[in-house]
Amino acid sequence: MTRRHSWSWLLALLALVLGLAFTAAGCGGGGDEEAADDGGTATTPAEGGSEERTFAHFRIAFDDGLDYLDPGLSYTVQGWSIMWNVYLPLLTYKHTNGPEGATLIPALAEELPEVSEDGLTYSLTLREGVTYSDGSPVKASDVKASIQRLYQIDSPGVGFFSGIKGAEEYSELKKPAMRTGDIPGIVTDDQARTIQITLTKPQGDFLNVLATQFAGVIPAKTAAQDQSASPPPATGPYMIQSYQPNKSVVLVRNPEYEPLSDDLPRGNPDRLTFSIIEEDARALQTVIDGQNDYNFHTIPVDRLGEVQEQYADRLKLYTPANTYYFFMNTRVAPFDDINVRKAVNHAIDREALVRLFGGLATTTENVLPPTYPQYDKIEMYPHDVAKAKQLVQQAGHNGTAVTVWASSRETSRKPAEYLNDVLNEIGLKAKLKVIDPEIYFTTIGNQQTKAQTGVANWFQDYPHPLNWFDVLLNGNRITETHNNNYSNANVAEINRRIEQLKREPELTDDVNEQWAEIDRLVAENALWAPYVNRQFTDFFSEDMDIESCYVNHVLYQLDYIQVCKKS
Amino acid sequence: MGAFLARRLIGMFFVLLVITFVTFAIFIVVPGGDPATRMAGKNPSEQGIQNIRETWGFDEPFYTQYGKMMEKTFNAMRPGFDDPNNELISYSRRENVVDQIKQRLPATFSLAIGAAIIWLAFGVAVGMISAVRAGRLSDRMITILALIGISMPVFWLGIIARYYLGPENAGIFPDGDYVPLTQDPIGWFYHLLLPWMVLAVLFIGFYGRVLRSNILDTINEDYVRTARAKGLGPRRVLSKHVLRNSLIPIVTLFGLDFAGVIGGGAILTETVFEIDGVGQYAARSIRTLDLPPIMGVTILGAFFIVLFNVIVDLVYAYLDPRIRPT
Amino acid sequence: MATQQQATDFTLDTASELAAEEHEVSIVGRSPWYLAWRRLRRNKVALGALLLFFLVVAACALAPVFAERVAKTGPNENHITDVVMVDGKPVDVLSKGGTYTDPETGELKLRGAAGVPIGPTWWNAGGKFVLGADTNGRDVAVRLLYGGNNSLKIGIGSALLCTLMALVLALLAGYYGGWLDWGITRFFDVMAAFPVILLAIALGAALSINGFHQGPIDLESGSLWIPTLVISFVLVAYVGRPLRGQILSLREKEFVEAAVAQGGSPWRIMFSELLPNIASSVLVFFTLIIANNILVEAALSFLGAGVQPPNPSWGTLISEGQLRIRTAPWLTLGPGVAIVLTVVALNVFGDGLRDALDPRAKVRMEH
Repeated sequence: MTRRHSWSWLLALLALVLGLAFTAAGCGGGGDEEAADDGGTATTPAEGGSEERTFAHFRIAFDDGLDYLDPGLSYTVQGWSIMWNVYLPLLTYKHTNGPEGATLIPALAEELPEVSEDGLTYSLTLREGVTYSDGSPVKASDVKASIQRLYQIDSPGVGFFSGIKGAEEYSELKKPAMRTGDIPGIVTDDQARTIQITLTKPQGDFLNVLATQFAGVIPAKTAAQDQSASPPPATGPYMIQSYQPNKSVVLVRNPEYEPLSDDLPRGNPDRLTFSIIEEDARALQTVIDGQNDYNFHTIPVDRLGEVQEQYADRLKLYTPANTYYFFMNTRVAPFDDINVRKAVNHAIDREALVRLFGGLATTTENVLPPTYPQYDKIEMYPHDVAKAKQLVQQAGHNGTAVTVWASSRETSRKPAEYLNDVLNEIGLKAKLKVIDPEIYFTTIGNQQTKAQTGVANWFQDYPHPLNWFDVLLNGNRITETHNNNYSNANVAEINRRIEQLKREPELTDDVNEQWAEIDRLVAENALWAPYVNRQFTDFFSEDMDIESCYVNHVLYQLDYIQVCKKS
Repeated sequence: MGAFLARRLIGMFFVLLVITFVTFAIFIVVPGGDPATRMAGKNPSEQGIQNIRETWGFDEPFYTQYGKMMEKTFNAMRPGFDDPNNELISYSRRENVVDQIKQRLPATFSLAIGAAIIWLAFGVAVGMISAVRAGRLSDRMITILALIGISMPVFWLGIIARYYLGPENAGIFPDGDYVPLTQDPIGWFYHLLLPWMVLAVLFIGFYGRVLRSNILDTINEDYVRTARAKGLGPRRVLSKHVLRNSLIPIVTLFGLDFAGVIGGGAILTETVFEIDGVGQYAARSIRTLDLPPIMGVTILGAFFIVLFNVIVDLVYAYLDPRIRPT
Repeated sequence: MATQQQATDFTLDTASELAAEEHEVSIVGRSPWYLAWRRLRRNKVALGALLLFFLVVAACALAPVFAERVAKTGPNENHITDVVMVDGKPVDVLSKGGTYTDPETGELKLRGAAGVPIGPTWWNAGGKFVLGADTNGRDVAVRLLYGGNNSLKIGIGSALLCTLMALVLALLAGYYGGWLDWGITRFFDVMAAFPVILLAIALGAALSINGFHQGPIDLESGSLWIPTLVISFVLVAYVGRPLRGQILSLREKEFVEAAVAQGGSPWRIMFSELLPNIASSVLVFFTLIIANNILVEAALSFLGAGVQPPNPSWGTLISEGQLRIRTAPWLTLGPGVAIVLTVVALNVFGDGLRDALDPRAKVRMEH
């Protein structure tokens, strides 16, 4: 459990981008578990506080989801939440609570880029006098080198930059040729500190691409291989002092850091230690005992009551926009039959599933989470096992074999075990297949697997219905591998409406109503069996002042550097 | 002797070769998915996947892939080798496998050596005491305890011991974790004490039982009776004649068990106590179908097992002059 | 050791001859099996252990009956929203609870933890949830019995297979010798050089992804056959090597040479000369290997490479239970104690059997 998302992040970001652009195409954030895109909690924003709340040491009970500490390779919220205060890209996001956190601000760039009229050329200027934590100056050419390095290390982030002129050609070079090669679409001038990026076609989300962690700037001389073990010098307020894989990450203040703008906090702790602890229960215990100050893990179900009773003032709940659902592959029997899909929707007891999440969830039959203005509550499938049995019978699928897929994470395995039981109850012959979370979504997203049904979830990347329907349910976007449309939903009417709404520049009431209709269409076609919208916990030690210093960012979750201690 | 060694070394090489091939085959045959698509992340371009496939050689026939992987493995073992393009790199986190294993070896060795000392000392003590007191109450008690010792799942014992003796209950031992010896010798000892004991329990029980029956057997041998008849004191007979011969089989067991523990046998203890050693590394890699680390650890484990087999034979020959390798 | 024919003809036991003369009781020839049984019968501890083992087996074999008649639920059935009557009072199997939005501050608050499972009801709920529920609302007692059922099936099944494979290989190697012996010995060498537990979890994990579908063998990924086969395969050398040694030394004995000289077919010699002479070791091995394999199965399942969810086994139950050791320690203790009892019983009985049959056989356990 824990909020680890591997790929989901990319998708999320992209989505954000898309959202801004209102164009459609982006890509979606992957639905790994428990993403952290936070809808914002009701707390006072701590940003910009003038008073000094610095303290010596912030200790985090971290989880084991960290993949890399190399900005070119990391693709998890774990990696990004650490590095967004270490490796600054040209642009970044505002460090605040709530939807405002999606606002782009300049980081290493002097200001947001100037975009040419045709939308193809982005001109930026590097701030003057910025240095790395080793004292060497940040050069404009480092920006280009950092992007080219992504290709040299087969970064999972290269897809974001393929719109740059010459990037596709560059990616086809052999490795040695890449070292001497060049992406002509990026022109830099170290003297004038300018960077000019040319795209092949207008790309509304390109600003967000420049703000991804993949675009974090590191020295041009950085070796073209994973640098997790020997972190490159930092440009942000903190630098990585040490990284012991599967053990700990230590951040300390970057001595060379000069505040770049008021929007970028300097940070309160002088030192941050992320201790990697696998087990949720043990992580919680270390925070209760005061060995750590913050629990990155979600509190295990059977400890929640105790925490609530004894430490309610140290607990924050937050609701990222998310939907948990069972996908049902419409290309494979028995789910090619709408009656079987409806049967599943009737068969599952959503109240029961809420309890599997320790009550930190609300039931749903919609695709969109209830925080959306387009949300129109659907109540189409009351819990009715008898009816479900009858539907399966009618469809002639009594005794049909079904494999239910899940990852071994508890939040995935438990609902799957429940579904497995329910499917057996309604006359199908179900069995379970549980695989490691690291390979779960690539496995079910590969058409060769022919995954029939299983557990999936989606966390909002940006508040726009396109991020949901286009990425997850548009039949035109089904792919052979890395498919996000696990149901292989391909309903002509839905596809048509999505494509049509993609072109709508504004979310007017009328447009919102049309989105709600698509949501209803999905339910009528029983393409998914959505069950809950989840809620999450942030838990702190006694010493932390979470009344005045608590920022849970829309993309990067808790902003570790803005916490403070009780005075 | 020289011929013996040479033959054993050649045999060792072939055994390792077969083992690597079998390991490779297990994970190539499994349709767990193309590692390239897994590595490409959630939002890959076709070209990206293709590049990965080429860089990592996934598009080549499996025997070529096997050959390359072997080459990279042995490259990495050559002293002074430094060519980032020809190292054994893991698929999931792109780490240099040999470095990763090297980093984890101290933890695994610490665990294995400490536990081995405990189990050898206690195993021999238990065996001797119960043999000397054969039939008495203390012998019965020890026999029962030894029996329970060999009948407990080590991971279960670990979970129970860690929780009930750990900080949340008895508070005698710290909660898992590993502290490097070089960083804090006392912490190292303190953190490893419980894992050592848990890992040793099984072997103590086992050695105790084997030694007890060996001693009882030896006592009835003619030469021991002769020694007694010639008027040697029981103490002297026990230490000079009985023990020496009864310990010989223990040497064999010890060598093989120790190698087994280093070669992955400590996987359960490491998992339960969250000691980031070679065993845990292997377990994690197997779950994610990450072949290079699996290969690395398997070779390491098999190497130690085969090596200790040879050592055991040599020691055996030294201890028991009747057996001389030819 | 005496063969059956020899034993019935004469005995060298002069003491008993004397006894016969003195007491005028004629000594009746007994087969070694009968003598072993007589020795075993006197070993009350070993018999007690056998009884204990049979009790465990019987309890686990009766799991379906318990599930149907007493607990009225299967091992994988979820009862998340059910209510049971405990002492006449209704209790949720999994607690209710949830979150609400504070109307004043708009902050999200917790009303109470939901999903906390019911503890043991002992017999106060009419046999339901005797040992409580797990986080999916499944009956722990039923799962414990079914888990034992699976663990024992795998333990006994793999011991059977493993011993059988080892026996066949050892007979072939020991009888024919030559290149066949060489090949089989090398095979044992390789298998013994593999780190056992690593090979087992590698095979278990790999096979549990897509099952095994080659030729006539068609195993689904969740099949109990997978751990059974994996365990019997990885341990074959540990049984095969000592058996081969024994057969090799028997092969040199006069009675075998004689049988060969008389032109006995290889089959006849293997089955009527060699096999009876190692049968007692095989039997001892078999008993102890069951004990060992139950432990190996538990370890494999604990690491996720054995029995696949939702099916229980003692190993998977411990691995699920340890997540809740702070609030429900019996989930970890129960299956563990069950394993220890079973394995102790088998080991004690195995010891007794060895003492009775062949006091010098040495069998070792591998982990």
